[in-house]
Amino acid sequence: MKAFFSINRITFLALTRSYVFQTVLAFLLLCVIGLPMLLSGDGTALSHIKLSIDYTLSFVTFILVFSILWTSCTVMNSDRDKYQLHLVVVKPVSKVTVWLGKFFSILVTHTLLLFISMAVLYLVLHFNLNSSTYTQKQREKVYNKILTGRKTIKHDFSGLKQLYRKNWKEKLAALKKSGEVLTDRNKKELRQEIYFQTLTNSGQVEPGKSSEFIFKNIKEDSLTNIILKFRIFVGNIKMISKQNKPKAAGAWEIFDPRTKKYNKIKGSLQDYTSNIFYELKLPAGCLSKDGTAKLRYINKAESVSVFFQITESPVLYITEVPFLNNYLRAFIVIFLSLVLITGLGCALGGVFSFPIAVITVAAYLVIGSISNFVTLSSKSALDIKKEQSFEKSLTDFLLSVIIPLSRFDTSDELSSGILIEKSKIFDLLFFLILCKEFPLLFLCIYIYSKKELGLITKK
Amino acid sequence: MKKIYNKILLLIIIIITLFCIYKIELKLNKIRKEKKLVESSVVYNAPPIIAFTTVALGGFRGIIADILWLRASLLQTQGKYFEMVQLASWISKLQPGFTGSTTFFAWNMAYNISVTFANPKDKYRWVENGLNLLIDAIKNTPNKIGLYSETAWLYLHKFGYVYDSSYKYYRYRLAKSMFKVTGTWHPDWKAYADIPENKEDMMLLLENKYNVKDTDISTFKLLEHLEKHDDLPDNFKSNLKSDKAANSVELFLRKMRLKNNFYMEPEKILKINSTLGLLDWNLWQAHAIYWLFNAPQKPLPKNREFVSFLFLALKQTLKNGKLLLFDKDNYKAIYTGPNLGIIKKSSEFLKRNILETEHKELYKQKYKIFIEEAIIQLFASGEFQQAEKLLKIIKKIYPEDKIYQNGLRSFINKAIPFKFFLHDKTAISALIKRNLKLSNIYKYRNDFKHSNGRRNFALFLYEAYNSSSPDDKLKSFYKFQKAAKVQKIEKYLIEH
Repeated sequence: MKAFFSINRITFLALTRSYVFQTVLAFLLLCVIGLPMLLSGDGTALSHIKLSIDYTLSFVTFILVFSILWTSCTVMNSDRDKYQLHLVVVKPVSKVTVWLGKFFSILVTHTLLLFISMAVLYLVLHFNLNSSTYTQKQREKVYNKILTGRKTIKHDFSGLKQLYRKNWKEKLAALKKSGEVLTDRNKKELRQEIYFQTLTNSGQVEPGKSSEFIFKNIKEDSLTNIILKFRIFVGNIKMISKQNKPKAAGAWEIFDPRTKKYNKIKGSLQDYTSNIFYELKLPAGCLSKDGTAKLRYINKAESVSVFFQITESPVLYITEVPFLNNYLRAFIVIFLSLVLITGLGCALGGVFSFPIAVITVAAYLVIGSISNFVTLSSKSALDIKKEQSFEKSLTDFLLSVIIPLSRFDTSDELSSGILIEKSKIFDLLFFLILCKEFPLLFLCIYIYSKKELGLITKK
Repeated sequence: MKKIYNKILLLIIIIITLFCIYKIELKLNKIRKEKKLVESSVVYNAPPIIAFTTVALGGFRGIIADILWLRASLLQTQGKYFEMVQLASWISKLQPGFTGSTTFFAWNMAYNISVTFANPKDKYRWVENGLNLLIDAIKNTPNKIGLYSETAWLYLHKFGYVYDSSYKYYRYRLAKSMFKVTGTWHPDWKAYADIPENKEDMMLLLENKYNVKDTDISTFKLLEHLEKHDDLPDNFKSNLKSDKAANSVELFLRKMRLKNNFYMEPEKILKINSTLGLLDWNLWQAHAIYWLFNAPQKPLPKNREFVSFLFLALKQTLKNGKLLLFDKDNYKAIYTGPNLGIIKKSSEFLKRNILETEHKELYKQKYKIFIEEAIIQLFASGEFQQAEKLLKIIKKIYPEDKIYQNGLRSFINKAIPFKFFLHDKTAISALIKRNLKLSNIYKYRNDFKHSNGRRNFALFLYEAYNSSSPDDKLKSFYKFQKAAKVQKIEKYLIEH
């Protein structure tokens, strides 16, 4: 252990004394202090604070990733490049210890930089919010919507899958009866059509009728601040083109498990404009023992149906943790991304020369990001079985091997006040770092330990 | 020896290859130019940020702009608009020569994003963001005429038409902002133009004209005070010794605010007023005309888009070019009326600069529409002599047109159904109501000629389109209007 700590200390000191560290620190400070001043949102406090968090954290992560990539590949190669490694390896120290010592020192250095940046950003955000000319109302909005950790719970539409299957079977039976034969292509198109029909019909509320929405898995202690967010679409395309923004009267009711009756939500009876998001605060005591909340929307319009896009809304926002807690979670996720890059940089830096290592790690990260992007576009709400295609196979393969760095991006969640779930942190740590990265690290450390380094003393 | 030969051979190959590349490059550059594959215009006198991005990033700025554009599109489909202003600003700075991106984002913000909000205040924020983006782009690339026409169009369409349900709020906010800048509904633009533009010249003026020396006119602090209290600090005023000196400093600061908030110059306003007649600068048409008039490369009269927008702006000025009622606490109380003061100078300007040029045939019809509108507005206001006079002029220009041959009454009878789209009772009723309201407003401004004119025009419309009904109905309606609106009108009346 003594050797490990010695290497760790020497590398850490060398790094902190280097110009690279000082330059990166200066850049980071410039970024966290300067960027919030330069950014201009849409003119509201909400947008300014959101952009400040989003952009600054993204820039901080980018600078740190770039710095780690460069530093780790340099540090692992510097002894060899300067023909000094024999001075280290002739001592009774294993190469694994050398590797680990360097790895931890790089990680600690950059974690320190991350900590400084995030601490300064936290102060800057609060300073900007409180010292600017924003009204109290605007500030409250920022505290309620951004500087918080809200969990989002979507309406439970698991029954939709069964409904879709039922509709599909009925359609097939009807076609069989009429003797119509479907080609594979027609079948695919028909499935899509029935999927959209099921989806649209499930979100439709006819005039004078109501539609029920169920929200599950709500924690009992999160009763005080639950916000319902939704938007409706009024009528059909003809109406939308005829009127500037069609409206429909409607009201929300919430199920009270004690009285077993639906009660009106205060302030919910109004004319709702099509395609505009609304938010309502739910009253306390609306949760059943199993953590379920039931809501229903009553369409009070006389002749027009309204539609919910049920994969998107209605949704409940529940404040679970304060902002600082969520901020620390974001810190942990960014730290995990630093672990990933430091590991990759050190591993490949130990095996390859500096330029090859840098290019390989950069390529690894870019491919990871692209593969993740491709997968996102192929998902659907009902998870209809897709036909196997070359692109999908390739994406699956890439994703099984490569770690997408974009999975570690939490700036959007943090800047939207959305809770960074513990399960997400666990997923990143276990599946991406332990299961995917560590085997690669072990392999590279093994190669590094077996590598013939005697040649480098020749000069 | 073999090695030397090899080297010479390699050198020859390199030279031949370079020569081939040179030739191909020349051909490629020619094709790029011919097919207009590159933005060839250079941005001159650009601010540092534009100069930096265009030079330092080189060809990469296109890629960065593309990535930012993709992000903007993605965020818009997700309904996340927070970043839109920032992204649009960056894209227009990265590609200052490509006005298409700026005009697209301005249109997108003013039209597509604004309508996703229910509250007029939120809607206006996005219309304003669109306008600011265009005006910022004009500051950075003043030689791009497309930006000027787009700015004018945004004013004319978003503020001038009633398609957007919040149009009254837009008009109210613009008037309020202008009033905040100038501190009066009728600014003396000559006085504004005479005031120096920079701090040093202002200090010199104070010293020479008012004998005020070493007064600190740190503009930021004073501007902040003026913004908050609409007046200069008392201690500062007492240092200036005279009211005239204080007024000059206030005017200087207001001139700065006009430039900062609207990027407008009083000298140019003065010039437009002297060319087209006195415009009400609290209203959108004047702002539209400002940008049309100040575009580079003199697009009038050869650019059809500019000419069309100018005609539209003048037509809107004829109908709604004067602010009559305004309530700072209620945007719905804003009311505009016709600006007849522009008819003489504007028609002369149009005749001289557009109708008497080689582009005559293109704009003959537009000129006709403008004069017809002027005749109707004069007739509606009881200015029959002027209306007759204009009719004679137009008769001379368009002798083949039968509509002008049988006198004013005949023309009005024939023109009105087309001009006001009087296809149903709702439209007629709205027009009658408007004229009665205008009649009341003029009455409280002691402008009895126009008041009577408007009332008679309302009666004329009523008789013409509701001839079967008795006049009593209209009279009782008029009385009701009078009783209900008297107090409100008096309260919100804009002084002459």
